[in-house]
Amino acid sequence: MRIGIVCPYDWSVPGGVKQHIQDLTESLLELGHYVNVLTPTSDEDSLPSYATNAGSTIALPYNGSIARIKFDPAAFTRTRNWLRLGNFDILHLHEPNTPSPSIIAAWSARGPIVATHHTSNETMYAVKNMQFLLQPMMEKVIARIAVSEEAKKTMVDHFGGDAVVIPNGVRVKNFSHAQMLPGFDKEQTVVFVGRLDEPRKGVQVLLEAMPAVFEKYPALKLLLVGPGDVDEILKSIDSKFHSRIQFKGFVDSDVKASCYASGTVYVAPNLGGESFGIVLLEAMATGTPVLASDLPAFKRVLDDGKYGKLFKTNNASDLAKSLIELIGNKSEREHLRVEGRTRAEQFDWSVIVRQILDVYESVKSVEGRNVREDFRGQLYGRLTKTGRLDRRRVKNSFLTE
Amino acid sequence: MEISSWVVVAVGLFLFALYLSNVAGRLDRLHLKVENARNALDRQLALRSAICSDIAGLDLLDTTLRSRLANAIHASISEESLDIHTKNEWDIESEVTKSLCELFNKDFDITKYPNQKNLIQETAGATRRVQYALTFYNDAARSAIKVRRRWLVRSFRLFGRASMPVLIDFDDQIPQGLEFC
Repeated sequence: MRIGIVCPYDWSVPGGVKQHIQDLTESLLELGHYVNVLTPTSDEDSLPSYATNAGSTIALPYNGSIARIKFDPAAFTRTRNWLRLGNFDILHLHEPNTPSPSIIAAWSARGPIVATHHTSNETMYAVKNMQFLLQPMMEKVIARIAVSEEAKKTMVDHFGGDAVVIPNGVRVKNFSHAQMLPGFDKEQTVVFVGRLDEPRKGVQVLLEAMPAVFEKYPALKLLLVGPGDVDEILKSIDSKFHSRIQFKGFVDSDVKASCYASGTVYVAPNLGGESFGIVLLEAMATGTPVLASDLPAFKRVLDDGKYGKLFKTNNASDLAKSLIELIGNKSEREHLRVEGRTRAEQFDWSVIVRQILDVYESVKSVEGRNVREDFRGQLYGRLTKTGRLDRRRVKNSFLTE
Repeated sequence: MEISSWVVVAVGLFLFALYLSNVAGRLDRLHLKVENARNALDRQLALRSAICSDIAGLDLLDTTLRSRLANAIHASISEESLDIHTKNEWDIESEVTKSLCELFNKDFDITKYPNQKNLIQETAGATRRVQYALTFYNDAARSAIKVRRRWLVRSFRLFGRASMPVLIDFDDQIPQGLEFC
C-alpha cells in the first residue's frame, strides 16, 4: 500500500504527535508498505529518508504548549506537489484542525482520507469560531481515529460525527533493554520526565511533595528529565535538598529510556491536557513501576490501578504518602514491574499498527481509486471538467472490484 | 423601480443561486460518501463471513458454539445472495457477532493455538474492520441527514433524487478474547 502521512508540527522538535508519526511510519515500513511523511522542519538535513520537507515553521502557543506550525503560500505549493507526485492509496492526516500542512492537504485532496485526532482539551475557541469554514473540508475525511476516549470527546464536541478509538503505541523493544544511568541506585531514585516549564506537566506538585519523601529516605535522589529553567525549579524547594536533585535537560529517546530504567518509581504528576499516557507505557516497558495522577486518561492506561499506582491529581500530600508507601514496598514494586511489562506489550506498535491498517483497509475499498488533487473548491475546478463529480467512473470502479 | 435597485436584486439572486449550488454540491458529495461507505460495509461483512466459516471448521474449539456460528454465517450468506436488505439482515449480523463473542470470550488464550495464530489474528482483524466500516458508514449517513434536514435544502429540493440515508444498527463489538490480537 502507498501511504502518505502529514505531520502538522516541526519534525526537529520532539513531541507526542511527531513521535506517534515516526513510530507509525517505521512500523508500516517494517511491514513492507511504502510510506512518505510530509512535515515542516527547521532542520532539513536531519530528516529521515521517508520524510519530505514542507518548509520551516513559526512558533505559536497552542493547547498550553508551544506548537511550531506552518501555514503560508509556499506550503500550499509544496503540499500539492507532494500529493501529485506521491500517488498515494491512503492519505493519513494528523491533527487536521491545526493551521498546518494537514489542513492544506485536506483542502486540496480527495479520495481515501484518514485523520487522527490527538488533542483532548475542553474548548478550542479558534476551532469553534472557524467551524463553518472547516466543516465542508472535514467532510472529505472518510475515517476518523481518536487516540483516546478523551480525544474522541473533544473531537465530537467540536466537529460532531464519530471516530474509532485506536490508542497510541509504544515501541517496547526500544525500551525493554534500556541500560541504567551510571551513578543512580535502582532502589533509591524517583524519576520525572517532561518539560519543567510547562505547568500542566505538574512538576511543581512533585516538588511540593518531595521534602517529606526526602526526610523519610535519606539516600533518595530525584531525577528530573526535560528542558526548563533549573534555577526556577531549585527556587521552589528548600536548599538543603538541592544536592539530591539531578537534572538531565533535554535528552534523546535512548537516554530517556535509560532514565526510566534508572528509577525506583516513575512519577507522572500531570494536571490535565493529557489525552493518552504514552509516557506511562514507556516507563512500564522499561520495567519501572508507575505512580500517576488519577486523570481519566491515566486511569484507563493503568486500568484503575491494576498496572500502576494512582494518586489524587494536584494533591501533593497524597502524592507524598503514595510515594513513601511504594518506595518502601519492594514486593509491590516487583509485582507492578511484571504487570506493567504485560500492559506495555498490549500497546506495542506491532499490535497497534494492525488496527491502523484495518482502518486503511476498510477505507481503501470505499473508493477503489487513490488519492488525487481536488479542484472542486476553486474557480478553475468549477469551470472545468476536473472539478465535476464523475459518478460514472466511481460507479465503474466498484463493478471492476 | 430604479435601474440600480434592479442591479442589486440581480446580484443578490445570483449570489443566492451560487450559495444554493454550493450546498447542493456539498450534499452530492455527502451522498456519494454514504454510498461508498455502504459498499465498504457490505464488503467487510462478506469478508467476515468468509473467514468465520474457516473458524467454524476449526476442530479445536467448542462444538456447540461452532455450530451456532456456522448457522449464523449460513443465514448471513444466504440473505446476502437474495439481496434482501431488511431489518432482519442486521439481526443476523448481530447473531454472527454474538456467537463470535462466545467463542472468543475473555478466557480465550491465543497462545494455546500456535498453529492457528494467523487465522485467529485474521478473524480479529475482520471483526475490527466490520466495526470500523459500520462507524464510518453511520458517521457519513448522520452528516448527510443533518444537511438534508435544513429547511433550505428541503424547500429547494437540493437533494435531487437521492434517497434519505438510513442509520444501520447491529452488534459490532470486538470479542474480548481477540482484543489484543
